[in-house]
Amino acid sequence: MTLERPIKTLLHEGSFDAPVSRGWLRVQRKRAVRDTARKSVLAASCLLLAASVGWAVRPLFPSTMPAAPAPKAVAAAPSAPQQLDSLVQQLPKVHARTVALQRPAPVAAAVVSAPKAEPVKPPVDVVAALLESVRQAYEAGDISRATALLQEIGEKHADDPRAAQALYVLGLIQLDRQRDAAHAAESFTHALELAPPAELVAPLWQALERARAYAR
Amino acid sequence: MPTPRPNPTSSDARGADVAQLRSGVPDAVLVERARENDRGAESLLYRRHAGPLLAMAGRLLRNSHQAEDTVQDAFVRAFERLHQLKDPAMFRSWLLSIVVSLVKKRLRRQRVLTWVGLESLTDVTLEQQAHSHLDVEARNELKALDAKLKTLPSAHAVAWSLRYIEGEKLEDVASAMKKSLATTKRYIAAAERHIRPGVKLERLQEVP
Repeated sequence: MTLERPIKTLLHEGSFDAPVSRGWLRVQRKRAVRDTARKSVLAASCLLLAASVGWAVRPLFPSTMPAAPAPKAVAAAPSAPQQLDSLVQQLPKVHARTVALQRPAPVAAAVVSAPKAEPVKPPVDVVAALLESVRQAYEAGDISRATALLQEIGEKHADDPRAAQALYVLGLIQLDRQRDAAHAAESFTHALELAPPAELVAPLWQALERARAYAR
Repeated sequence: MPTPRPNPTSSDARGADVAQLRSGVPDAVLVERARENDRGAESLLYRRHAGPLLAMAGRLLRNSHQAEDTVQDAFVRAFERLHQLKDPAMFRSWLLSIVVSLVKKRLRRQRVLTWVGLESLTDVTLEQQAHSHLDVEARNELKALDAKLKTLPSAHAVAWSLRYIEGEKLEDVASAMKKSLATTKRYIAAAERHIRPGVKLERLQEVP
C-alpha cells in the first residue's frame, strides 16, 4: 500500500506553545527529582556495600577489645573456719522491717491541720545491734563473747527472723571453733524449730548431721 | 522617566526566538554543548523538537496529557543519556526512538487498563483532530481507522501510524522502533491486513 500524503495532513495539529513552555519547567523538575533519587540510591548502595564488606572481612581483623575473662575454675569449697568467717560477715545488719518502721509515714492533708503530736522515736533494732556486736567480737577474736551474744539472740529474740541465722552461726562456732558438737547440735535443732528461711533449711540439716556425727 | 525594558515574553521576542530556532544552530552543535551541561543548549533542543513530538505522541496515544508526560519523560531520558548518542546529528531520530519506546509502553498500559475495565481517556481521537473542511465520509473513515488501530498490537499500530499517519520513511520507522527493516515491514503489513477490510484509505487520499 502506498499513500501519497500522510494522514496527518488531514488533521489540525493545534497550538503547542503552552505545553512546550510549561513542559520545559517540568522536564527540569523531573530531572532534579530523578537526580536526587539516583544519588540517594547510590548513597544507600554504598553504605550497604561498605557494611557487607565490613562484615565479610570481619574475621580478618580480630576485635581490639579485651577478651572476656575465662571462667574461673570452681573454687574449692572453703574450709569450715573460712565459711564461718564469711557467715559472720554476712550477718544481717539492718532488717527491712526496721527500716520500714523508721520510714516517715506520708502526711495526709487532714493530719496537717491537726495539732502536732510529739515525735515518735524510731524503735531501736536490738537484734541488729547485737549482731553488730557479734561481728566486732568475732573480728576481735573474742569467740566466747560472740557466742554469748548469739545465744542471747536465740533465746530473747526468738521471734525475730534473724534468730535462726544467728543460731546457725552459733552452731558453726561451737562445732568448728570450740569442737562442742553436742551444743552445736542443740543450736542447729533450735534454729530449725524457729522456722528458718527456706534457703537456710538445707545447710542447717547438713550442719546438724555433721554435728551429730561428731558427737558420736 | 526610565525607559521601559522590553518584555522577553512579548510576542515580538517570542517570534524572534522561534525564527532563531528554525534557522539557528544545528542539532549537532547543541548536543555537544548540552553534553557539557549547557542548560541553554538543552532548552533550545527541547523547544525545537517538543512541538512536533507532542503532536505525534498525541496522535499515537489519543491523549494530550499522556502525550505531554511522555514527551517530557523522553527529554529527561535523552538529556540523561546524551553521552550515549554516537552521532549528535542524529539527535532527532534518536529522540524519536525514545518517544516511540515510551509510547509503546503507555499503549500496553492502556490496553491493560481497558482489559480490566478502567478504560483510559482518549480526548484526541483522529476524528476529533480532523480539519473542519473534511466531509462526513472522510470523518467516518478516520473513526473506523481509529477503532482498528486500537485493536492492533501496540508495536504494529505504532509502526503503521509512523509510516502512514506521520509519513516517516521506512528506515526512520525501523530506527524509531529499534527493529530491523524486515521486521518493520512485517509489522506494517500485518497492520494493513487488519485495517484494510474496514477502512477505505483511498477515500482519505481523495480529500482536497
